[in-house]
Amino acid sequence: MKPKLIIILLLLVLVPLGLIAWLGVKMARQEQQQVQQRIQQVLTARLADLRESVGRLVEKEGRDFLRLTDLATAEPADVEAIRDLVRGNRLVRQIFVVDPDKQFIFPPRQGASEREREALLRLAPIWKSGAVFHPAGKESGTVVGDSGWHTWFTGEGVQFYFWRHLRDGRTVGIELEDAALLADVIALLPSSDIPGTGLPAGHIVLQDARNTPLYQWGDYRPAVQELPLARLPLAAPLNAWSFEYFAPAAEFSRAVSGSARFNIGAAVGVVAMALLGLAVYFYRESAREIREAARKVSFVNQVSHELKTPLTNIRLYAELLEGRLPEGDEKTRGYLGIVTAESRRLSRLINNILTFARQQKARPTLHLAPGLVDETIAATLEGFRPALEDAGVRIVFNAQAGRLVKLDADALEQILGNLISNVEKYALGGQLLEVTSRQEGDRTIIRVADRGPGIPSGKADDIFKPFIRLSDRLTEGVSGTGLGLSIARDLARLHGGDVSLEPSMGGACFQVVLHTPAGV
Amino acid sequence: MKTIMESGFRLALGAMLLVGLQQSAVASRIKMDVGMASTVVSADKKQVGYLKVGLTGFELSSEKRTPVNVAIVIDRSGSMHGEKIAKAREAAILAVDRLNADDIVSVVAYNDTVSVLVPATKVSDREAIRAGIERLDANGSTALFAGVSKGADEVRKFISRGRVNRVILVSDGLANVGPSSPSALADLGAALAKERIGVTTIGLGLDYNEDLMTQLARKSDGNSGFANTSADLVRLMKAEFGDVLAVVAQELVVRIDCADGIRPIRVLGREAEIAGQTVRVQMNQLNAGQEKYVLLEVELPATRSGKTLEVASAKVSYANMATRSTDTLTGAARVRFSDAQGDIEASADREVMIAVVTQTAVERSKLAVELRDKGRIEEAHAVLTDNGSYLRTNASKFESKDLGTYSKQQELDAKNLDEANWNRQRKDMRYNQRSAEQQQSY
Repeated sequence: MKPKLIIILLLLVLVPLGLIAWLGVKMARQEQQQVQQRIQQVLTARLADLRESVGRLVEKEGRDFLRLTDLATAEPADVEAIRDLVRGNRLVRQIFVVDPDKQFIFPPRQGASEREREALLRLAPIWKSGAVFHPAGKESGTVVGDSGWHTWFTGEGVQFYFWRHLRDGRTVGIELEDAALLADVIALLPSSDIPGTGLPAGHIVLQDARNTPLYQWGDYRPAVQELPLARLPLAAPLNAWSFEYFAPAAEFSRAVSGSARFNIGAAVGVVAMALLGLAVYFYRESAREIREAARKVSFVNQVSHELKTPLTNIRLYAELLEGRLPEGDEKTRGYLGIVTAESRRLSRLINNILTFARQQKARPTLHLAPGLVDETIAATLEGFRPALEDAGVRIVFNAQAGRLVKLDADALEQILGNLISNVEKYALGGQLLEVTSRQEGDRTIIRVADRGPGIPSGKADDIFKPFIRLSDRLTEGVSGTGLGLSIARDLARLHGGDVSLEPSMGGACFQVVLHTPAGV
Repeated sequence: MKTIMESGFRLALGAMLLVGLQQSAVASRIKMDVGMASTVVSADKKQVGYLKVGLTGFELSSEKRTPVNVAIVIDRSGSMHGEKIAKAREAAILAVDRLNADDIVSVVAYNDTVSVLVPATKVSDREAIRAGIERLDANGSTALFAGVSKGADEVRKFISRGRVNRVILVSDGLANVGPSSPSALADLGAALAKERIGVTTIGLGLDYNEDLMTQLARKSDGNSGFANTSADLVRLMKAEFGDVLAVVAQELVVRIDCADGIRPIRVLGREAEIAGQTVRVQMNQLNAGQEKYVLLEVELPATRSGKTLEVASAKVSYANMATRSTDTLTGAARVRFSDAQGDIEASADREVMIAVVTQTAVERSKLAVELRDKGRIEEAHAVLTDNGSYLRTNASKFESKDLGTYSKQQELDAKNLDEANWNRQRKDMRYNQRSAEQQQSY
């Protein structure tokens, strides 16, 4: 009883707790993901700001280049003027001017400087590919009308070109000084001493197409293999470059998310405590009740024991007195008969209680001894005869079990007593008690039938359960413990048989089967 | 009001210069000498000749020097830890102490990242600048490119034609974050040269990349220095600031137009642009009393004896820091062809020849470094020994103390090509080559 209760209570606690914990973990994980997303959003937004400012710088440089191309293409073409433009602009490594027939106007065929010849050599492979100075193709980057950027990947990195088509069919190309471009971008980006994004210390890296850092800043030092929390490529034409944001993830989670995980943990904890409290309360309550019930049973048991001895004495002396009664004093004999019958009834009651109490503690044992079944039946019937006959009930005993067998006569008497006492209680109106006994092999079969109101068909099983008494109608004004049939069946089963309710035309008919091997 | 008074003063000064002080007006212009190594050359054969355009800075009265705009960029990577960074701090503070309230200084430090310790500011609040420099400590890697970029950006904030705009880089290590090749830094130097920002590179100790540092300095027309010890750093920083504070002319552009038939071959020791017959050389600064020159190698056509040819005309334009005006000087060089060997030898111009010998020796010294880099120690040794005797011969011929000193230097170099000395020696040679090529003041 008790371990079962503990298991149930534990399940009551653990199942919901497990469920909550599972939900909590799931929520925490979801929260974690949200936090990650949020961090990524925040950091990506920061990187987007940076990308935008670099984009503005490049746009400005593009506009400057447009002005430069105007100057470079003044008519007539002035070689020295173009050279001065190259000399005066740190972002310009070389300028090319191409006529509509794709002939170079600048650098000039004659008298080009070594630097200009080198620039032409650098341009040669791109010029051959036909990709340079045209708006088409993915490589060409942003296209601003008839001008745009072109990026060319060389063995050493990326070479940037800006080009513009003029109305007269000429094209101006500018080869960028990539070191100057990078220096400008670096000058634009923050240095490490500049605080003030409101975020915990991070580390931002500007890197090239091969993920080699070009520039980095921020007070945080990422580990060697650390992954960035956010990454953002730059806009064209610098799209080969990208920003990576490194930061201590834990610190960022705290800064961004607050204490969601702690909250979930606390909720699970509180619910767990509440459930545990309830479980302990219920356990203590039921344990107390069980103890109480056990005390009651043991009290009844003790009382019954105490009652048994005086009752036996009452019965003994009443019977002795009856023997000594002079003939003719029928009135006194009648009184004594009542005393005897009532004390027998009381005995049965007490026996039932004691048997039940014993059953609760341990399986009772039988005391088998050679005896005659019919003799026991007759003796039992004899005990009931005065009361039954007074009520006008006719007793018919059809005795066919006369063989000497091994049996526990006391048990049989108790079984029969309980059955017949039911007749006495409920079926007096039937005016008949019919008991039939027979023996088949090592089994003895006894039928106890009456003509009373009978048992409703649906209740055939219930009546054998302890403390079950049938409807009020049936039990009205009748006392009882509800133990009789239960004990009868238990005893019969102990005796290798059973008590069952047999179908009958009217009234109740119980059949008792006992295992009764031949007795010597 | 102040501006009006100042310009009034300047006008008055200008008037004074014009009317009365002829001598002073002359002295406030740089001196240009255009000359050939020999004014008489052999007739009837194609030959190489050398044209020198020498520029000498005028003396500047001590109280009226050109204001400067300097970014001190200091490597604070882990290797600088200890004495080096302490000396760097000391050198920076000493340098700042030499500046006036009109000068602008910024201090940038870099390791993995770049910190602007002192943003570009007038040297009026010395304590704040000093505090910024005192914050300098050392750890981490070497983002040299980024450091120079940020330093240049600080200079750019107050960039002015009236100031000496310069980045002074102090590094003891190999660049390892960001672009780190000598060519990448050379490109950066070339770009900064276009803005007239010179980058002076001071290498400290034996672990820096002298090629990267000299390339950066060369392309931006800055100085370079090699501080073998931390104490040298303080000395070099002093010298560099002496250089910066003595500037009398800026934005010097030397243009040499070779006459028809004269083919310009190359300019020795300097970055030059040769397009057709025109040679163009740019210099950031010229100091008081300092001579810088452009030495052009030309091919002279075979010409019959007795004929005189104009080789080239030279023109230099520059921003005069004393008069705040752009001045132009012109000159020309001729050569006469002759069969008389005596005439030819007698016509040798001592100053030009010293320059030719010096630059030739520098090229030989560079060749020696190249050979030594390939492990050909014997050959390098031979080149340097030859170089030594070549210089010694010419030193006595032209009675030049400088060539004599240089000769001894070469002989010393020849003895230090072994593995144990090479690292230091190479840095020494690079520094000396660079110094000679640019006629550096230290």
